Amino acid sequence: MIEARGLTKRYGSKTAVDDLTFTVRPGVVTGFLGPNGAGKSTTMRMAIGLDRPTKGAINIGGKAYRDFPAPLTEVGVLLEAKAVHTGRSAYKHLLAVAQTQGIPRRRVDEVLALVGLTDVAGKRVGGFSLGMGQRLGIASAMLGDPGVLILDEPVNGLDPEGIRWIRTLLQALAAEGRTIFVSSHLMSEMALTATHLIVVGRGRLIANTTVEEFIRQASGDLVHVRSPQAARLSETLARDGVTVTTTGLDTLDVNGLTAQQVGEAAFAAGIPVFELTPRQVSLEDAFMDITKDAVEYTHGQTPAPRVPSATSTGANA
Amino acid sequence: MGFPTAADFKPTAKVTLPRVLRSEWTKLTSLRSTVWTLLAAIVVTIGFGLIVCAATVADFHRNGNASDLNDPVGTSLVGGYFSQIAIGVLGVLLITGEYSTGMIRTSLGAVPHRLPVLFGKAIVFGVTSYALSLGAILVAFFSGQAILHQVHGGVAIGDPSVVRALLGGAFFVMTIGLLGLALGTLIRSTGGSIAALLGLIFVVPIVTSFLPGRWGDIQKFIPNNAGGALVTIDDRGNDLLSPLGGLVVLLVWLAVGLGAAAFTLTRRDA
Amino acid sequence: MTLTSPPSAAQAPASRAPAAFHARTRVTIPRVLRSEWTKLTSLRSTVWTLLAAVVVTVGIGDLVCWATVAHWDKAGPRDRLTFQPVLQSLTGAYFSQIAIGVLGVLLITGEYSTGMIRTSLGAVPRRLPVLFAKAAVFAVTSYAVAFVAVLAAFFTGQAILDHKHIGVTIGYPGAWRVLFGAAFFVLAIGLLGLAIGTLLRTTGGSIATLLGLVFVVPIVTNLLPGNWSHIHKYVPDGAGQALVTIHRLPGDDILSPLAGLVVLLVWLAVGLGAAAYTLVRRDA
Repeated sequence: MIEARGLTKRYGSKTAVDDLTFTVRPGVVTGFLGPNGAGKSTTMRMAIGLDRPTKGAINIGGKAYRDFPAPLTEVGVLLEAKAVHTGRSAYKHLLAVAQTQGIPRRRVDEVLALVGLTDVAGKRVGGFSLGMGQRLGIASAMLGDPGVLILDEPVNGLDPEGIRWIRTLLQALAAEGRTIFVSSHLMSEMALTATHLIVVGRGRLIANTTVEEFIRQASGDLVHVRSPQAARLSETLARDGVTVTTTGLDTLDVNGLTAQQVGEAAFAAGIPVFELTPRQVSLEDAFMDITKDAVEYTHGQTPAPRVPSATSTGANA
Repeated sequence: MGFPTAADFKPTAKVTLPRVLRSEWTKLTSLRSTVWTLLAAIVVTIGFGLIVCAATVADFHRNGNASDLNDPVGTSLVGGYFSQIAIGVLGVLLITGEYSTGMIRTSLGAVPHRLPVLFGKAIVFGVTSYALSLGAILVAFFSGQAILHQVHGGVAIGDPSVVRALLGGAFFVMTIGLLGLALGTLIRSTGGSIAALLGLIFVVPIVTSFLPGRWGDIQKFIPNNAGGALVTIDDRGNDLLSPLGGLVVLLVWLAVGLGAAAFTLTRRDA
Repeated sequence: MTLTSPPSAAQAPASRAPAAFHARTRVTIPRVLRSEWTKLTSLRSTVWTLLAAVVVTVGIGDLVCWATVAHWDKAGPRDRLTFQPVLQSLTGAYFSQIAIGVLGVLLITGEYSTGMIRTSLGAVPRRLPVLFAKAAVFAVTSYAVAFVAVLAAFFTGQAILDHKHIGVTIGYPGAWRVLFGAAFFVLAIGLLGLAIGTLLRTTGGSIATLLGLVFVVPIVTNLLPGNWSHIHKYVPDGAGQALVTIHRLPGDDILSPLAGLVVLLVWLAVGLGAAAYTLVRRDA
């Protein structure tokens, strides 16, 4: 269990983390979402005592990180892979870390096998690809077999097989009763992996809820209907608080009624219905919608592609 | 609104030496650490010169020791030892910083002939370090001599060889910076290159001073003493080359160093 | 408006029995020492540098002795009188100073530049044990290597000098003290490098500061006029000279060997103390 109470971090005039209060519970995978610069990495760094909070505190299992006699056996962290000396072999790197708390040598072999790096254990980390470096970071987090895992962008650089492996691993670890706190920008992955979400923007808490609820809030009550008498159905459904949008020749998007209500209204009016589906926006859309006011760094507009004119390539007129 | 297309700038795009120079100037002046280091070198040069001159005057007042005042120019330029380190380290970092951050791939990708990058850095850094060193040296000289004048120990800029010593001092500091650039290109690691440069400048003189007899003649040709030949005004009874000899020796060091650097830069994998 | 929902009354998570090895785990000083030893010996560049330091120290010392022997017949009476056989053979020790000093800096700035520091401080959140374990492991290693280097340089150098019967034996008064002292000075520079590296955190700046302190400051203090030049005794190089000088002439402004040792220890205490303070207080 990770608990933040009034957690605040200021750098001069800039407030990176602003009065964050939340609880990350064991047994589920909790996603930590937010636009770039929202304060996610800073929060995670404060959780393991790398940065000192300006105000407030963040505790793990009720204790401050530095009070654990063997912190790596309680909390495993992947903040940024390649936080490793490039001249060292993977094996020696993990060994040096394990030795600080007296974690047995065979555990190093175990985690290397877990992440599939046994064959390259003796090679210099400097020669590792991005994905291999990432796996090494995960191995390092698992070294102490901790009850709490804090991971920042764990799937960065992994191939599809690796992404699926991580997802399965995290869910299995959560099912064992561990606390899993993952931050990621890969919304599609988050939707599949996490069950609970903590969303921050500009250092402040924006949402602290389940994935389902988060999406549902963004989607609203949206129902997709396909009917041969779409126009007549549209008139039938129209009333206060209900918006009906015609999305195609025979399809409607109805906002404000549940699927059940739409079905009953159609039945009462004798209108046949071929498709009746509650629509959900993707997590990505939900996220963009809810955080649009909190984005720190916006991108320019992507321009429409230019269509080359017939004379632009210097072809003979 | 749309992206600028290649059609807008492609016809005039081409890698030329003036453009590489401009790029290297931008790189040099856009790193805050570089600017701060150069400023620190200037402050230290002037500051130490003032302190030692003031100490000399105070001591003269107390002890009346005439030998304190026998090298007024050298006394005011004592700070130069520290600016040697600052400029030397900057020269190393100019290239090893690119290797350690991976920026070298961007630079050599933009300029595949590679040599222009090295010479662009050398020219931009050489000119900058010379100009700044000379400025600092001039300020240190004038303010130091003003202090020494209190006990009639100062000299004027018009006195024989003074101008040569000041110009030569700035040239020596620039040489160390460029040797740093050369060593950095050869060795490519920050720690090793700085160690090699400072070893060359400060340790080799100590070792060669132990060499007896004819072997000791080597001393005249190491960078430190060649530079010393450039800045010495009173050459009675010392074992240094003539000022012109010192200049030539330093130029040979530069040619060999930068030449070796150029060779390895073009031959090796980035 | 913050979107929250009350914690779901989900099924209680399966309670997890902690791994068996957890019972014996704990961060202790001996364990941190072991970890720092693994770190030191697992970097090939470190091992090579230490080897190179020994080779260069012996090599340069022998070269200088050989040149002395070759020139001895033509040497003037003044040269013969001021000749110091022990120090002549240890001329190469300066290179050990640079090598060990740079290693001391890299021991800590290497962690900052690669980001490894986050792993190290994450494993040992109390932080101080990391600094002192690095210092202890590095001190023992660098002293051993430096001592082997000066010992080998001494014996090989004296053997060369013996060709003109100007070499001395290890029984020469003060010889042992010079060897122990020279190795200690190398160690001191290494630890000062570690301290400066922890304070400044960048490789280039720390090496420049260290070598400036060790090699340039003495040049300047030597030039200071009159009473000011007394400062020279207390800078690291001056204190180091006190350790390795055998013959003290009247009028020589130099400390006794014991005083020199004390001055160096004070430098180390101040340097490592400041380093410890900033390591614990600052964000990683």
